[in-house]
Amino acid sequence: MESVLDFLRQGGYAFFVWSAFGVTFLLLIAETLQLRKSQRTILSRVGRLVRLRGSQDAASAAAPTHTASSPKTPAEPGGENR
Amino acid sequence: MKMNWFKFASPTAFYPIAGRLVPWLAGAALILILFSLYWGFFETPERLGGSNPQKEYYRIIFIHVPSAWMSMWLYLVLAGWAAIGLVFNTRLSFMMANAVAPTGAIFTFIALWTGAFWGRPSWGTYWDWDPRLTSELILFFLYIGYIALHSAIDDTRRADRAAALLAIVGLVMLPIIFWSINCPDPNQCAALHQRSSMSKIESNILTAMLTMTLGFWLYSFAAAFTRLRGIILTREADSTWVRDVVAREAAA
Repeated sequence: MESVLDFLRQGGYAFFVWSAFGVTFLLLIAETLQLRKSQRTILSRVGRLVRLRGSQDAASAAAPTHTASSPKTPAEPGGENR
Repeated sequence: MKMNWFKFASPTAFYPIAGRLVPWLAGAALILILFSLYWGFFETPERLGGSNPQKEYYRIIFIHVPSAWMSMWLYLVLAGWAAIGLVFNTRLSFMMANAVAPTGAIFTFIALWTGAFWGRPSWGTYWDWDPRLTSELILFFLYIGYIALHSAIDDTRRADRAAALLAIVGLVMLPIIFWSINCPDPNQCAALHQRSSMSKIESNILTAMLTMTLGFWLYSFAAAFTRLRGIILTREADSTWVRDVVAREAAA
């Protein structure tokens, strides 16, 4: 127990040592979680886009006159292509 | 022997390769970082002796120096891919540059942040407009500028080229950062920041520092490749191969 406290104290420099190490690994973990989340978001969004286009193709094959003039799928919002 | 140098330069070929590599890179990075933390906190002396005596706070070196190295190295990678993209007009190069930028910015911030918390106990101040600190701050702004410029232009191809040009111009900061503490005449060097003295460093401290550097390096690969896969999917959403990939990943 005493040695654990000693370790946490870092010879009285706990504030500096743990502020540096804490923020470093907080940022790296945050980046990892953010990447994981955005990967899922992108997959589901692209999946929706693909399905939308698939049903559009089917619809235009069935009734070409109606969907021929319909606009293509909406453009991706700016900034998300990074 | 004739080789197709551009074989893996196509997003179609690189997407699955990156996907297979990421778990291994991330796992290896985690092991190396944990090993370095253990070694740095338990197998090193509590005091830094020599010409620059320091107490326990010197342990910030285990993240400060590796992240500062990564901040410069990743900028070189970013500008390198940007230049290749401009010269060969390959899609994947620009995407690589884009994927590296946020991770580089994070490591630059970490270098500045840990430097501040090391500077306070050793120099008595969190910040000073010392050449090393100032040039590293400008590097951080360059990363932010690259990301901001890219996201400010709607047309992706124009955004790629404009941001690439900014990245290449920003390369001028790298020698400035390097020479700010490694200049031949010590009297003209940075006043506060220590000169690098890798040869005089204690071997256990060096072990922890180099392992952390390797860990951060592999982490950067894993993060950049993951981001790259997202960028590839978003940009190539119109192509048939993405359609197949999405169908497969939805089934899995």
